[in-house]
Amino acid sequence: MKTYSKILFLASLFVLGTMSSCDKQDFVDINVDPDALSSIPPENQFANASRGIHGQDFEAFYDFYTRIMPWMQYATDVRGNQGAFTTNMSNFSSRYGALYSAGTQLYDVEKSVEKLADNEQARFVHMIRIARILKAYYAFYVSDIYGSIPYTEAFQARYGGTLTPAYDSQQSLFAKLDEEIKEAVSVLKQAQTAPQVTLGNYDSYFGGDASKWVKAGNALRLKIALRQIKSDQAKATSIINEILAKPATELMDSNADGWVFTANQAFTAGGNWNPTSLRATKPIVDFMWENKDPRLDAFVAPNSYSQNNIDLLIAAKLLPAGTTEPSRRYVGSFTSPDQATNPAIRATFYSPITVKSGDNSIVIDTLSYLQPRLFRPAEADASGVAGKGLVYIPVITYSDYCFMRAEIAARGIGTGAKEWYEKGIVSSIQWYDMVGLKSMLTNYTAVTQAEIDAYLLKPAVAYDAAKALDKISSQAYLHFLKQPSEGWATWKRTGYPNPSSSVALPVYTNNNAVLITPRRAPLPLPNENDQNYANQKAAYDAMATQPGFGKDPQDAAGRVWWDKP
Amino acid sequence: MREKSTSLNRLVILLLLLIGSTWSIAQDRKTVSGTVTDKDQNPLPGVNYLIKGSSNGGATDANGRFSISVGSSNAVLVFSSIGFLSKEVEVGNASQLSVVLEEDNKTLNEVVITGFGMAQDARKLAYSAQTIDGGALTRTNNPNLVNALQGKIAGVMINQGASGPMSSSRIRIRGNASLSPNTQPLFVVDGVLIRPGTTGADSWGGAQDFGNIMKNINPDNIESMSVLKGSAASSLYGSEALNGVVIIQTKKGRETKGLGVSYNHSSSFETAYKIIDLQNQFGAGLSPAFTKGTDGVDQVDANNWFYSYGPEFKDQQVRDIDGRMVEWKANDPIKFFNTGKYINHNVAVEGGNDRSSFRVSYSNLNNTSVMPSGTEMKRNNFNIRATQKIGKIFSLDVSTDYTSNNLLNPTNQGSSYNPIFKFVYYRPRNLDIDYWMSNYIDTNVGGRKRNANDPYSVTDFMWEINERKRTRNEKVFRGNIDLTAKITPWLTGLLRSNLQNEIYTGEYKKRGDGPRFSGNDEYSTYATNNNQYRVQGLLSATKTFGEDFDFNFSVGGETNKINGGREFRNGTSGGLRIPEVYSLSNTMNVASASAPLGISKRTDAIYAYGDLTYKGMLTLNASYRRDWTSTLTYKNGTGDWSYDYPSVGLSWIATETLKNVPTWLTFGKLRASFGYTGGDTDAWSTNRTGIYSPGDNYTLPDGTPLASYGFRDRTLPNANLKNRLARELELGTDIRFFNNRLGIDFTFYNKITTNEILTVTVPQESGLTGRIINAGKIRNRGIEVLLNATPVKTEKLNWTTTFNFSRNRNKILELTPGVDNYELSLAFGNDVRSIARVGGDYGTITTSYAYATYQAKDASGNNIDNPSNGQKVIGASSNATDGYPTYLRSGSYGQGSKDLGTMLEKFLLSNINSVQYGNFNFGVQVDAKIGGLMASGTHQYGSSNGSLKNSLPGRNAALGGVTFTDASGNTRDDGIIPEGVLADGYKVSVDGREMDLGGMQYSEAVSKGYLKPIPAYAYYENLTQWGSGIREYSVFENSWVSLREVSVGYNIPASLINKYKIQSLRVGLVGRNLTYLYMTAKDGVNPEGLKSNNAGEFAEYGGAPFTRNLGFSVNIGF
Repeated sequence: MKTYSKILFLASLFVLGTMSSCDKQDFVDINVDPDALSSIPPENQFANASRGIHGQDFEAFYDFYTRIMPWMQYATDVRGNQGAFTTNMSNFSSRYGALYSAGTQLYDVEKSVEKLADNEQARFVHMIRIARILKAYYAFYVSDIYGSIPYTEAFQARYGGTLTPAYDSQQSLFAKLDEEIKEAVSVLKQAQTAPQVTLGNYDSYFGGDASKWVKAGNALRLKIALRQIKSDQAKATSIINEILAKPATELMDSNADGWVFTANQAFTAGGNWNPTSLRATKPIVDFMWENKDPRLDAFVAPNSYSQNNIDLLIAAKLLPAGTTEPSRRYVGSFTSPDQATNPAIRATFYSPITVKSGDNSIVIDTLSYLQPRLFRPAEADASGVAGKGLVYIPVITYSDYCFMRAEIAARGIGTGAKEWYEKGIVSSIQWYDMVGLKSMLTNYTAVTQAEIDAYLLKPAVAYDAAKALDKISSQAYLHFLKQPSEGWATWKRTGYPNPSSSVALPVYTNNNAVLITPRRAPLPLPNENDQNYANQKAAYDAMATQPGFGKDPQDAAGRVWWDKP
Repeated sequence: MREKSTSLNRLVILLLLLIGSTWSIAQDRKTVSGTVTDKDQNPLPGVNYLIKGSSNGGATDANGRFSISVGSSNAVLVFSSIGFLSKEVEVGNASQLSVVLEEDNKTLNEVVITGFGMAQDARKLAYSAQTIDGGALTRTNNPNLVNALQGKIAGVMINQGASGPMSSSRIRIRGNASLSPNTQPLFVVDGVLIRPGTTGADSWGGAQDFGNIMKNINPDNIESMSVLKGSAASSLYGSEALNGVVIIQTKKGRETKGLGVSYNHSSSFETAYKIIDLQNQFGAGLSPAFTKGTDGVDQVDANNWFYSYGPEFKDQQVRDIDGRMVEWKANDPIKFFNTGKYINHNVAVEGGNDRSSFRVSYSNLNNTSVMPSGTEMKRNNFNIRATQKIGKIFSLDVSTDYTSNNLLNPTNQGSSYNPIFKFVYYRPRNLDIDYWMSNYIDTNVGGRKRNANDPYSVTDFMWEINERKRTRNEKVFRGNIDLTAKITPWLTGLLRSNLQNEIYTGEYKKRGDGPRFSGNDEYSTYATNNNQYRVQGLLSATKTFGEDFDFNFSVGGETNKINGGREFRNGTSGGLRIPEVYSLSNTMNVASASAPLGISKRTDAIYAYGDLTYKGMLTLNASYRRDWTSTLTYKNGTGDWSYDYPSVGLSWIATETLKNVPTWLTFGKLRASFGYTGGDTDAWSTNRTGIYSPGDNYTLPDGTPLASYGFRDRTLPNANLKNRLARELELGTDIRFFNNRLGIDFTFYNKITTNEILTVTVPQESGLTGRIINAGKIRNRGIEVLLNATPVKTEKLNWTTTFNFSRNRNKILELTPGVDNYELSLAFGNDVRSIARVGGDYGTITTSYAYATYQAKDASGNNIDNPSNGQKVIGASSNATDGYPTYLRSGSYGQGSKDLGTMLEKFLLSNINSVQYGNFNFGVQVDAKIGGLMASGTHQYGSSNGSLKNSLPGRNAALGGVTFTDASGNTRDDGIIPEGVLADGYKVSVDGREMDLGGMQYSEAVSKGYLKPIPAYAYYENLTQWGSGIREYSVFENSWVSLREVSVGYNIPASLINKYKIQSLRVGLVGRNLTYLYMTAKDGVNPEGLKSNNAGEFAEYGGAPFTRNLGFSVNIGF
């Protein structure tokens, strides 16, 4: 019996021993995450990329609200622009990083298709081309303020490509993007042998409609061409002429053709999108008020001097009895720090009064804010009810296209400057009217045709061939309120608006010194320990040889290749 | 007794059936019992006894009695106790033995628990191992045994959590051997492997920490804890022992006359006594005078209420913003906190005879914290341990432990729901905390007061702490069965199998804070169930060869598996239909549901270890282990999944060899060891990197959801990952003098970890942000000194004192080409980082939000000498309040990131004193951490609006403010002229001419009239606020000396209590964390209170108030 137990015990130890010298497959099986997928339908990546591109809340806050909008006098801080507000670039630009995230997702659309069976692959020909157009747009958008960026060799490490992609110079990148879009457009026009898998709901721009993408692609080619009109006029002209020769069915023709990302209010509900500290600016408000611009109530919220609030002030003996609501409740904020900090101006405009209304305190403010729901439709209204309207984030609107056509004509390529200019204004008014209603702006009334007609006749608005570029750029500038980057580019490209243009933007000063408006992103300083140092250094060195690049990569006052004085 | 013993037998048999083995029960063993005394016939409790050549044994009870079953008459019992000569007694035919131990000051015969829970003669150890007994743990009245280790062991660093009793503490042994966020040691409780996880907040600081598993281990059941620090010591535990091992022995039943019943009670009370240094002079506003209401009454400045630069506190009556007349005085946030209670009851019943023993224990703990949010932990623990000898061959040791722990509302570790952060950031000093604590509900419409009715914006905070309930229940079952077989007199087998089952469930009830208590409301629930098991087999041989050689050798194997269960999560979506009904069916939209699977992992191993001792003076140890791990296998079946590692050590007792040692040298030992420990990686990581996973649903414009899938990560997988490997050389001495009155144990170690499995960054332009590599070399090198002394030793009075000193240098030798640093942790969002930099220290704190320093340049951009070089740079920051110039951040001035130093301490030092005087004993423990940086979010943001004392200087002429005329023509006396020089390119217009003030002292610019002094409020706000603040300002050395513990105990003499049938009665008083005798944390920041227990954590974001615990305990034995 004793021996038996000993044998049994040793046998158990032996069994344990053999368990340890184990079957590898058992180990492999438990090391697999059941939720890890080896493939997904490619349209998911298109949707992910588009949301990544337009969902940059840091870009909204740091680039638009804090930087480009104050620089371009679309908005100011609550107390007006302060100090040397053009010099601090902390956290500027998240678009660069977003490109390499979204670009890889768009590239993955192609790579995912490659993994499918041949007959399946034939069904994704259009989807791949649409993904390429979006990728080209965003690469352009990034290079626009960075100059040289990696593109040709980028996005590929996941598929065995390089970890250290070389940079494409902006000139070669623009050429490459043009070719890619051209190819994509031509394929999208062709009838395909296999029925195409449509992007459908995964395409938040056009619902997967290939014919709209043809128009969008051509408009994008036009935009890239126009950017380089000073740096490479021949190339720009040849592309423009190629586009102008396209049949009308391949070109944008109405706001319905506009390339705009549309989303639920939840898309911009995050805190960084909060626009409630964006003051409307004096130059814009004054121009729009004086010319009865029908977009005024879409752009700007009235100040707090409603009759109700005035009555509270009267009750608190802060206004004489009998005061009535002023006819003008749109008042813009000062864009120059020296004005905004001027004691008299501060006392008049930047000193809100708090009064009691029953249990509640109400802050009564002289100055207007930008329409909050224009940027964040989820914004609660005065009674605290959250907005339920739609989010619109434009890429290339039909008005943008019209203003490009107008400018091209004004530059002597093609014709119809006045017609395109007016189409641009009208479509802009109509587009913001649509947004005003669908984003459910507060204090907004729909536009009438009479208002539009009257507006076009205002001397400051009416087309003037002698001041063509001023007029077109000034109106494009207003239109780009929701695309401050494009407004900034218009200013860099044409020099308008300026202190004496139709829409006049004053010079801003701090301590009486003129502040210099930045023109590009401050480039990260090369670090010898970075893995891609050699490529980065080479690209920077090449850019530094271009005139106007600036004193060093970090100098935001410098220029990229296309931005010629 | 007989009856009980039989039931115990039945239980044991049942357990045997459960593990699937049956055998006959042989009954041919004999029992020996007896008493151990000193030469004066005083019984000696706690004497270790052991059957020679086995691990069977125990310790004598309070009356010096022992009882053990031996296999044969040839058996030899070894008795050992500190300070006595060890004695070997042949059992022969005796069944009763009287053993007398001789006091001995020459050699030491300590027994240390090492390896797989085996008692090992300390003399033979080639590495340092320190042990503390259970009493030292329970005395601390701390539910988390990790905290109780503080200061007790050289080389062990503890950081306490900030979320209350459940919060995880961080434990680090000999630095950080890896760059992983978790560098905590493996805990082994009765053979069950327990892995303390990392919990806590992310870099934004707001999270409620329910803590890791350590809070579920009941200190009441712990006999002793042994800390194995080095590779040679820990390598037997394999991959998970890379950061050291803490072996916990639980209590066994002792032989008693009848039933041994003991009852232990402790009550301890925690009080907050301090928070960061506040100023108590000025209240809300920016102007020294009150605004006047239309009725002429002084009122609080409603426009600038969040600044504390307003009128001075003089207890005058003023009208608060919400219209109430209040007394104008500073609040006292300390009053906000409650008294935390720790109330623990423990009943243990034990018994035993020569063949069996049992111990049954129940503990009930109710532990609240100082937080008024109801932070609470209620723990019930049941523990049974039984041993039984079966025949002559087998013996069983069975233990089970069950804990059910109810947790409620851990404190938010930081950010706006943390009380300290809330009260100092953006809240004026006059905020009436008491009032708002009881007046945050809008009694008219329901929900919380808002807008003008919440003038200080605190009702959301009050709502969070009073109206939202997060509860969690943790149930942990642990069971272990050791079956030992004495196969031959020299060969023993052990079959050990254990399991641990963890069930976690929780609920979140979020009361609506809108009208009618709706809106923003939520109910969610989750449940998860994980288990793990381990089966181990071990054969051990013990042989003596001739006179001179003792030989021990063991060979074994084990399999070890963690089975991750699904975590079922359900929650309401879009709020609740009927407010305050917390049920899933009450959801507004379709309820959310998910059930992710937890990770599973298996590790198998075989090992062999042994030692050879020559003449009791020279011992050679060696071990070898091979691991197979699931974590290094790939889906396609490939993977280098096994690896081996050896260790070797030598211990030489010089005083045994050398004959002519002076008499004052009592004992001297030299030891050296060299060992490797292998390591694997995280479960599943080889098979999910670089592929796809489901994402959250996307909401289409019309509100319908769209399923969404995307990349799981942006990391390049590595198809050839290998194990990591640490190697460690340890040298040490153990020298004792003057009959053991003084002892020094010195250890030097040098540990190098190579082949780390890391995700390092790659240029994002490649489309990825990281790749997994197998690279790196980290060195931890240090010394540990343990000094024991008995300065006074008389008949009645005995004073012993112990010093633990350790210094560790943690250096990164290499990562991989092209990668020079690795990010460990973040603070202030990602403004401040702790990184491992090649050639630098682990935990180098670096930030681009440091002060920019001036460097003059010539026209071509070369650096040139200038008296202003190196000074702080002042310039324009676009986010600066009111456009005033302020210090520029290094990153904004083109200087990138600046290294501020390392987060790791220079050294740790502790001193533990124990004085015994008659029936009294006194204990005092002081411990110190010197060096190491800490970042404080409370300090940074608290400095922004004038709440802290550091913002007093310069506020008015009396406080050193400069008088000047501001741009509006007003004369003010709160001017500050910052030290530093103006940034290059800082221009002003003088007489219509632009002038560049770059490099000019700010004071010079003021004296020349180019610039004006900066008002104090703007100076401080710009220095510290979110948009323009200098984070370096709130990163500081965190050194401290803490009066950790003071205790007094009294054993009531037996003569007084015996008539009540009480055998022993002890009462004690203990104070913990009494005060800091020294601290360098800036402006009174609490040195503890990190927001997580990640290895690289260095920041607090609110944390906890300074608290101290005072308590008493009663221990009764029947």
